[in-house]
Amino acid sequence: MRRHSAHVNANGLAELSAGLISGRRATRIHAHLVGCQRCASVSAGLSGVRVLLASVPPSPMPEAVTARLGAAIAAEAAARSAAAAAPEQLTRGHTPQPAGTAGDGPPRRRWPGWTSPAAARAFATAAAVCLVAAGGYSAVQLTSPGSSGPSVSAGPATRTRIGTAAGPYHVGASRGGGQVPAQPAFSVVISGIDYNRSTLSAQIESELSKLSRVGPDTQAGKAIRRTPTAQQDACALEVTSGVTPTLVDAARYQGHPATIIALTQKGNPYAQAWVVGPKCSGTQSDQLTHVWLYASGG
Amino acid sequence: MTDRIFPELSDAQLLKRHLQGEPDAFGQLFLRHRDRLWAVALRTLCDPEEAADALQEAMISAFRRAGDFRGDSAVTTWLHRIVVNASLDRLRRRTAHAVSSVGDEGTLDLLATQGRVPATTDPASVRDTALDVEAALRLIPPEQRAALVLVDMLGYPVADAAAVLEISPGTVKSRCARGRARLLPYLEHLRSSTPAAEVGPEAGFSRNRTATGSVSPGQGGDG
Repeated sequence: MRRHSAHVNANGLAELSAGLISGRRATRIHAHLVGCQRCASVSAGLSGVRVLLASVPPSPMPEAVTARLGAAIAAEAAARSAAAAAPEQLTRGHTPQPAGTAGDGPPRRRWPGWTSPAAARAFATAAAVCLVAAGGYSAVQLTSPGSSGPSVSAGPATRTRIGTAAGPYHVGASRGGGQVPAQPAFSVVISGIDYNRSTLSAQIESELSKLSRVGPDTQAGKAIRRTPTAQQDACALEVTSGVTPTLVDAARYQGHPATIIALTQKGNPYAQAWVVGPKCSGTQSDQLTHVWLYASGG
Repeated sequence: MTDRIFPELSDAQLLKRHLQGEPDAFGQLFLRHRDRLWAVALRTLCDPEEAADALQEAMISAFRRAGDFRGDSAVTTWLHRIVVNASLDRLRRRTAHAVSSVGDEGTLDLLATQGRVPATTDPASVRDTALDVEAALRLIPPEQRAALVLVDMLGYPVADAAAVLEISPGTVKSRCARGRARLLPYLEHLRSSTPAAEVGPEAGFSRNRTATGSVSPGQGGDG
């Protein structure tokens, strides 16, 4: 079997160059390459591929991503510390398991704020980097530990909003220091929609997808956004157990004034939403209905 | 530059501090290796948003599962592994959504018919080359891509890539070889338009290993 004329395909040549072919077969291919322009060219091409791949310089992690991940890790650390310090406070959260104990099984994603109100509050107090999210908008506020006091009382839960299509995380250093107002972590949309019982899920999903897809500029022209009143702020956090809601829409439900509060979790295709009446406050939810949504990870 | 807090501690010591409850230790570990981890996620996923999501998922997972780290590999290898797995999981989910009943080969064919690797108009432009390479990388199976990212793009030794991917060195080589063969048709035009002096085999493997990808995961600062 001395068929030096047999061509070798690209896979074979790549395997040869990777040292995966040895012995007689390697010798045979090498001999073939000497006399075959075509296979020699493919072989050179494969080397070229390696060179090309190596020639692409690795880009450093963008600052915005560093800030976001750093904040997520800081929040995780604060939640862990809070869980260690005050485990009895964790009973009210969405996740019965205290932070930091997810040792076994597949890791479940739990973002700060989602874990528990206590942990979220602790994060707001303790973390030097604070991620504030309002609907589709995102802002990273770099605050010193001392200046985070006011924002704790107004918006106790901070939640890292991740992967919004609206995009960049603005580092609000210029708004830092003592100038940081007691700012709620979300804003209220006034969509003008009259949500209907039979189409509620679809309507909310549609609004949520707008939040994640439409940038602030275009969004501004479509729906009015307001800073929540103290009652709205307290109501939303009462309903979500302290987690910053993704969507708060002061709208109507079945023809009556109502507020739609939706909570999504990145990476979790399921979201939930509450419809609450005008009496909703920090002490009662005045809940009209609650639905689970399929938000497809938005 | 990023080691403001624990510059003197090795990765393994940082991880130990983290397990002991030191709140800043893991963040420090992240800052120390973020660029390399970013490069891995970005190249594997070919999408900055997805890469950031995968990295966040991976870092939170690593934070919580630090106790699982056994010390039989470098901390960086372990971190890389979590990032690669998070990225591949994401790709599988995405592929499962996009083309449900088609396997890797079918996916490739499908993508190959849709995808157009743009021709390089300015061969001198590194940026264009990078874009072409990224576009071509999307067209090969994720497992091959992950191996190529580690070995060819980031310059990790095969043994380190094998430890990250938890496969044998031979399998790493095989995936790399098949990946290169797959890439060849998409990248050949770049080669022919690149000065010959730069594409000779001898020109290749020491180049551009200077920045963040230059240190292999096995060479992390473990004491």
